[in-house]
Amino acid sequence: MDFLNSQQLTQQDGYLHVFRTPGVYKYRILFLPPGYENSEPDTRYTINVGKNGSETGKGSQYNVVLHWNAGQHAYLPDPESITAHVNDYVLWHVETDTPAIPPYGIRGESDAGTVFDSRGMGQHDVLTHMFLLPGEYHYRVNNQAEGVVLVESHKNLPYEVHAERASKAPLVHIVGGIPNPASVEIVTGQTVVWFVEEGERVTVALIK
Amino acid sequence: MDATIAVSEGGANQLMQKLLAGESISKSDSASWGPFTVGYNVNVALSGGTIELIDAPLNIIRLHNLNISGNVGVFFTIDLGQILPTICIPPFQVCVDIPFIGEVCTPQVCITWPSITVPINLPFSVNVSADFGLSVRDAGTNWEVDLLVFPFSLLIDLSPMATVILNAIESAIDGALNNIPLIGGLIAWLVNMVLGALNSVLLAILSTFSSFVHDVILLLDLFSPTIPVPLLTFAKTQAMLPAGGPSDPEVDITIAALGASINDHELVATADFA
Repeated sequence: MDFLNSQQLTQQDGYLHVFRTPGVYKYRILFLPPGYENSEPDTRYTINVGKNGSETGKGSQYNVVLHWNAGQHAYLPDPESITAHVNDYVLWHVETDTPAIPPYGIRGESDAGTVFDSRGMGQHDVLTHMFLLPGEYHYRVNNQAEGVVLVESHKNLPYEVHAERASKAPLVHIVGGIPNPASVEIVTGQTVVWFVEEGERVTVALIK
Repeated sequence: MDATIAVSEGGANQLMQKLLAGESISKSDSASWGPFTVGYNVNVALSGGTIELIDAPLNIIRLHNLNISGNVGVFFTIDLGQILPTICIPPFQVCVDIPFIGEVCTPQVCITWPSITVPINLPFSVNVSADFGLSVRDAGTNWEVDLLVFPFSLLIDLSPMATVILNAIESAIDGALNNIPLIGGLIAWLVNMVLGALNSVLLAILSTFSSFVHDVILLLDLFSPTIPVPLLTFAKTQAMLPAGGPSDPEVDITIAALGASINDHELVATADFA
């Protein structure tokens, strides 16, 4: 079974944040839960968000690829800094073929005090997860409302059928802590996208 | 010479079969060839064979058609991450329209290649002939007529097993890669990459197995040129007359010296009494 927990992102996950207000944002790549920030590397990376952006829903996507550096015991982002505009969005994900690298979180804030945190997603934040193993994945949003992802093995599908299905990413809206739709059916290799339409400090985690 | 004991070829055969029944050995080792870590365990047993007794002055016991058989139990552990390139899936972009955000393209996931372990059994069987010299040894309270092998060449060639190994590994890799989604069109190519890497070291691996089997066989006492193997044993003290009562004790004689040779295709032991 896959591991799925928005508070501990893995190489199968992506975290997206939309920048609604201009400013200079500094973010850290963290391993430990809130409260332990002083034990974490203090390296901060910059996102400059300019005023002249697109209208809501018309922004551009920036990708930050995280590479695990075993020597430094840290993720290094590529690029190290981004210059974006209002309503642009940044998606963080890990690119590695190294097994057993630690899960992480992204936490940033602007000089004006606006905070974003993958471990407690805010409104319009997005979590993506590619399912690699078949199974019935029951998860909870904010440890309360339950959703399920039914993942069928690709092994019985012709490659073309499999690829066609994997070319679509089901979107689950989270409104007030409730996932909608509550159930999605996919095939291994397919990505599910959770969109926090309304809510703050939102988490998505498998039920153990 | 006070006593002579003769053993026919048939009798010598029986003695030899009894001796062969206890001759088996098992040894294991491991080694690495790049991404291939190989553990191997060799079991060897001896059976069959017929004795020919060759008269003095040669005094040779020739063992024909002795069967040496066994198997090499091999565990190939293959770190596919050391062979296969980085591949990220899906091989196409997947994007979704999200309200209030726009078109979001989801990230690829780079495959963490697994390590796989493939158990393979490689049986072998060869028939050999070997010559043994005779010697007599004072073994404390006994006299022994021992066999000591003459050095002989023994070739165990496992190279015909290359196909067995390649087929087993191809099947195991194919099975492992089939579990990974969205690389269906690449699997044959990826499997060939691993087989290509294996081919470059397979002869060296098989040669190591062959040498190891050879060395293990030579660890058998029967094939050691330095370890005499007792074929016949005589107690030095022999009872000539049993005890007749409390005042009539047993009468013993002592074998002071023993000789051994082969005459008229018989193994002849001669004893001198003290």
